[in-house]
Amino acid sequence: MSNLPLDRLVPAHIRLFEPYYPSMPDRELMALYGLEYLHRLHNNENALGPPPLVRTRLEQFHAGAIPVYPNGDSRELRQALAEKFGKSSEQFLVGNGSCELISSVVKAFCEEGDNIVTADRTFAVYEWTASFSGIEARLIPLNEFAFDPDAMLNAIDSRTKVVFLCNPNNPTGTYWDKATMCRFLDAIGGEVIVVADEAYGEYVDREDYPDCIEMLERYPNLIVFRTFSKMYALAALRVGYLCASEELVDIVRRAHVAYSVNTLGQLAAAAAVQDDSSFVADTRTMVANGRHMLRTLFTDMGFEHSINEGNYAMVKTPMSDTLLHRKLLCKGIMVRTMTGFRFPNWIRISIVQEPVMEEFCAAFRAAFPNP
Amino acid sequence: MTTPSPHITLSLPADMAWARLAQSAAENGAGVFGLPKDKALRLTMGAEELLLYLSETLPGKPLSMTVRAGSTAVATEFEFESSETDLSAMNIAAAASAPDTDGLPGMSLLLASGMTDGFSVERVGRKTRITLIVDRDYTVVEAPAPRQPGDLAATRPDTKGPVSVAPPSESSMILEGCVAMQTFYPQHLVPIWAKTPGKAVDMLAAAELEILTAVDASGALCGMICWEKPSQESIQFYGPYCFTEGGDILRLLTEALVATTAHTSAKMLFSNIAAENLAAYGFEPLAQLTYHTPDQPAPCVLPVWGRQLREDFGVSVWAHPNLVPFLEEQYEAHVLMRSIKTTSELGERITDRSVFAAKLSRDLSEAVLKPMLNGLDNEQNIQRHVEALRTEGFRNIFVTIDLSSGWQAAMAGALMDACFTPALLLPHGGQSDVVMFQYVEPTA
Repeated sequence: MSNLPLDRLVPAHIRLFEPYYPSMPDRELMALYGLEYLHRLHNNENALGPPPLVRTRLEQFHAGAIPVYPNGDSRELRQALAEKFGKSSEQFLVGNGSCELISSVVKAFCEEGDNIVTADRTFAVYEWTASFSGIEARLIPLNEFAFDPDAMLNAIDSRTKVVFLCNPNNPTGTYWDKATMCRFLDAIGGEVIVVADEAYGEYVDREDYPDCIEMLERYPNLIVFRTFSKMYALAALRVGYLCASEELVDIVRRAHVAYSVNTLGQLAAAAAVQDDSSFVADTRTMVANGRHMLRTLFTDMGFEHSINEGNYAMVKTPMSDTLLHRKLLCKGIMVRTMTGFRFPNWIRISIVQEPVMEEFCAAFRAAFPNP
Repeated sequence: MTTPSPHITLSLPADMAWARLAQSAAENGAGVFGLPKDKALRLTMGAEELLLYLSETLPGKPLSMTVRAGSTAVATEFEFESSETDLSAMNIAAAASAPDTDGLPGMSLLLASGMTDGFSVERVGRKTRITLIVDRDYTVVEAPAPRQPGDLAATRPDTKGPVSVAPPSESSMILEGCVAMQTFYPQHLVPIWAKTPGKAVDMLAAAELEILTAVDASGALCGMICWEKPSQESIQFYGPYCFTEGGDILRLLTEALVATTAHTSAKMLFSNIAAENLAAYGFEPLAQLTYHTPDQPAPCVLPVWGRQLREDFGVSVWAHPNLVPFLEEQYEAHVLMRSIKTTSELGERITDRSVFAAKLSRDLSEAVLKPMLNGLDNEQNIQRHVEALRTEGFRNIFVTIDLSSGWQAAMAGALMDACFTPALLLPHGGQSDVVMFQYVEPTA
């Protein structure tokens, strides 16, 4: 019975938005479930990480640097990225994870009455950010688990400002090849900003996978997102970046909060860029092995599944995803339920080291004594 | 946090000198908000009796009185500060047992609750809010003779072509669906509002009810599923109802229901009158309720189906020690992690008299009681309710308690002593898990 006039104070698009509640800290969860260990197969983290050079640099970090503000625009990290990709450092903007960059792009380009276009079953933060910013999110159904270029083109109108593509798509793992990407960008013709989110791009080892950073000169309306949270295993430090033309970066920077990336994050990310070990190759091998195990398991049990690119797999079962989640959690395995992501009764599993995947397979089988 | 409904509010002292003003506000408000004259008069008299009662028990204390338009009813709310006020006369058991004389303490309160179609009492700290509700008038659609599920298949026409699922495109579809529900399903599997389709339309317009319809290529209505939100965390659905043969209607409707409700604040989706077996659609059987139907001498068994919409990482719940074995068994069966905290009497002061809200459905012979105010007389009050309801012919008597509330959880002991058996555990059915107790006739 609060007396605050929230109906007047809170805009309708915030009132109607359902907040996201993350899971409780691992330690509390383990205490509640009486677990001695918890395998985190729900957030697509890289269990191998971080790369060796990151470990070394973090060990050298001294506490005396903590009272000092971080560099406000991640200058050294941007220089490292520029060197790696052969671009100017002014073509990069670093954020507190990709989520912050999504928000900056929406704020920079959209105003009341505008819309964004993306898929209905993809990384939900594009839709959420638009919705709680009062911007319409046009969600185009996937076609056979993949972004549908023609339907997306049809959805674009004069008020469409940004198209978000998740390539490869989270959670289905499908991707647009170079030809599809170019055909789509050519059809748009520079009228709309296109964001190619390559959060899982480093996991794709296919010749026809487009490296959109290489395509920036040809398509000046293109913005590419990448993150250090997935392949480079820096999720706890929250560092993501975008790469685009200097002109577009200058616009997005106006809506972007400076100083949002901490010193440790900048330092670790720069080390990840410079790391020349076999870390990425090792991770790809681990994921390839895991995919094979899961594909065999789900095929054997007769369950529909989607295993493509990225370090994750999806499976649909006759049991509700929420019940299966609880059953697996009791055995120390946390997966992601997908009902809230418009895949009723599907779960998504992150792919990690073989012994843990074996444990997952055993627990999964046990949950279906009579499949 | 919702958009406020149209309302008028008076601030006045608890004093009968202001009775005419309160009457006038209630009568005018009820009229403007669409109640017919006879019903407006009932709300007016209820408000007057309530003011009389408050002027006797809290003389001169400040009150606020609000007349509010709801989608299917008009309400009068009185809000005041006092944790001591005896509201026990609001119990339906009090109405049944009151002698036919005026001048008894609480008689005006009893009259107020008796004149209206529903009431609720909320108490937070020292603030109390009493709400009296009078329903609008709706045309009752005559139900065809009850049928048995086994008789129905032959009477259903075939589905023609592909089926699409969407909200009803016009209100006449709701009328058609309400009639079809009553035609193809026995009475106890049909929601009460299906008999008054106009009410269903108003509930839908106010977002108090949601409906999805399945329509085939010829435009024929093939099925329907409907739901309400009894609490912030739960959704109760009715159906899926299938009116034609073929077309995978049940799967289409249940999948659409899950997809639509997954993006709400609800954590739990359940039905205690699901019209079909839902095991194949990812729903878990939560309980089997023994139910006495008006048209059958022997009780039938009503399965309760449910599923969670979000990941459940566990919560703490309160429980009376006598309820702990039931809870442990249920939590294990449904793989729910709960930290059970047993309640104990701490010697705190509570009011003498408890209050229960009652939701009655005479057609289904069903009464669902919900504790509103804790009291020293919980056990006797429960027994009074059972006696009154049985005398009135109610054969399905339930009490629900919310395990987020220590005092409600503590009531389980008194309920079990009064021949109530825990029949259903509903995860996230209220503010936390809810237990539904069912009255079981003691054997001789």
